[in-house]
Amino acid sequence: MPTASIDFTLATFTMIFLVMGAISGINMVAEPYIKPVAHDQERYGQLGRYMLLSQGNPADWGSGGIPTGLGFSSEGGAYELDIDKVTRLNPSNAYAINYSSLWQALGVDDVSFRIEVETLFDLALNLTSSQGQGNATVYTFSALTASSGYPVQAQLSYYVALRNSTYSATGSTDRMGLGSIQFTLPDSQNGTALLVSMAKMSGSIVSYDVLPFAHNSGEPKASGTYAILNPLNHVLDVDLQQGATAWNAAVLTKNYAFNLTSNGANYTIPHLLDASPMIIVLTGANSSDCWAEWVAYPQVPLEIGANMSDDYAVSDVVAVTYVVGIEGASYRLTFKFRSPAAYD
Amino acid sequence: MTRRGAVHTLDAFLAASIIAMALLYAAQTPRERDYIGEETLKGEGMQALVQLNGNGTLGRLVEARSWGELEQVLRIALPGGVSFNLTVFDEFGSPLNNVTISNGGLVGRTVESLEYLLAVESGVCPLYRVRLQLGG
Repeated sequence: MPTASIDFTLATFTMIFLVMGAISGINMVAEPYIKPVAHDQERYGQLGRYMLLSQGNPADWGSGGIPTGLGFSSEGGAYELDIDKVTRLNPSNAYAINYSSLWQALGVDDVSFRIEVETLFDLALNLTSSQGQGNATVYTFSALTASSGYPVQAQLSYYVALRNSTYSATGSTDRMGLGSIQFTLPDSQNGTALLVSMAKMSGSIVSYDVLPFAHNSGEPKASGTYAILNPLNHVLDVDLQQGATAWNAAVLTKNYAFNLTSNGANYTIPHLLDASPMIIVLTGANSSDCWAEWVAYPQVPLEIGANMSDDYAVSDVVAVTYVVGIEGASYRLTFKFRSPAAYD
Repeated sequence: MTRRGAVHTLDAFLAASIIAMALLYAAQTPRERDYIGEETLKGEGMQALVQLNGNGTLGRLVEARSWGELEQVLRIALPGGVSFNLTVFDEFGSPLNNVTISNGGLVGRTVESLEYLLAVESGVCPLYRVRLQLGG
């Protein structure tokens, strides 16, 4: 074979490998910046559906213990989640499960994840004004209902919990998502009060907000100063702090408000048919203050899982969003998945 | 044909083969990305309809012809970056909604359509076909 032919053949193959290598290299470098590959997206979607459609192992792990299989479903229909399994995802609950246990229960070694649960729209309460009127004070509050900045029209229930009393009223927000309400509280009472409001947009789509405010007293202390409330398995576990004494516990939902009966140091939470989150309010006193603490049941909004805030820069985090039901009310649940091994 | 001419023909043939192979190989990645977008949109839309139907909201709003409220519910239930257009058909295929149920038209690189069969609990148990078009 002449030397020219050998040169030509070598040059041809070199050129082929260079072109193929360049294309392959560009694809590899650009891939994280474009979108995840199909099999990752599909795999993450299947992982999310598995966790939402299975009950986990044991099936009643929401009431206690560490699960060996991860699933949040209740015995209800598709995408209906167990109130206690969701509550145990909230790190502020004393019975919460940490991310390490969740990750081991899922059993997929090369995937890290983060779970976020929130209401489908937001309700924000603000104290607009307070004015003395004889032996009482009139408080005016504003309410704003919106979803991702888009105003939402909703029907609202308002409650004010102060010492042993609960005052209630109803209202609505207009097409701009704005509403207001007034409460008149007697000056014979004083202490930290809680304004609790539930907003219902339609059917099962509800949201809530809680606003502590001072009534003839000093500014409200941070949540958890006098009592830490841990709802689970329809029992409210109360951990009193700083020598505080509990006076009254009440459950507030969109349509109902009633007091709870004490069961020693705990309170039994009833099963309700109302499609609404429950806000549990506990009032009491210590040597100097009349206080009010609260907790939501299910204990949402919540976030738990791997920290992925730094990883968006390389766009290898896949977020999968679902609308789920918990005790008749709808919430948005977002899974964020990432495979560190694939990137590192 | 001279020997030099034959070599040039071979050169051209090899060059054309290399370019064709490179184009074929490079074309694989964009096709895969489009597929992902479609599946994600469809999945999100279908899951939202399943959940809204599961708690009775979808059937109640369709049966009551509350198109404005249905639009508000979809705005909240679907992710923020997704545009939608929904049409409700009766059992004979005639559209029922006399107003547009949309958040401003279909916008996005990918537009997908899915259909959902809806049975409503009532005296006559009507069936509806819900067509949800999504853009994102």
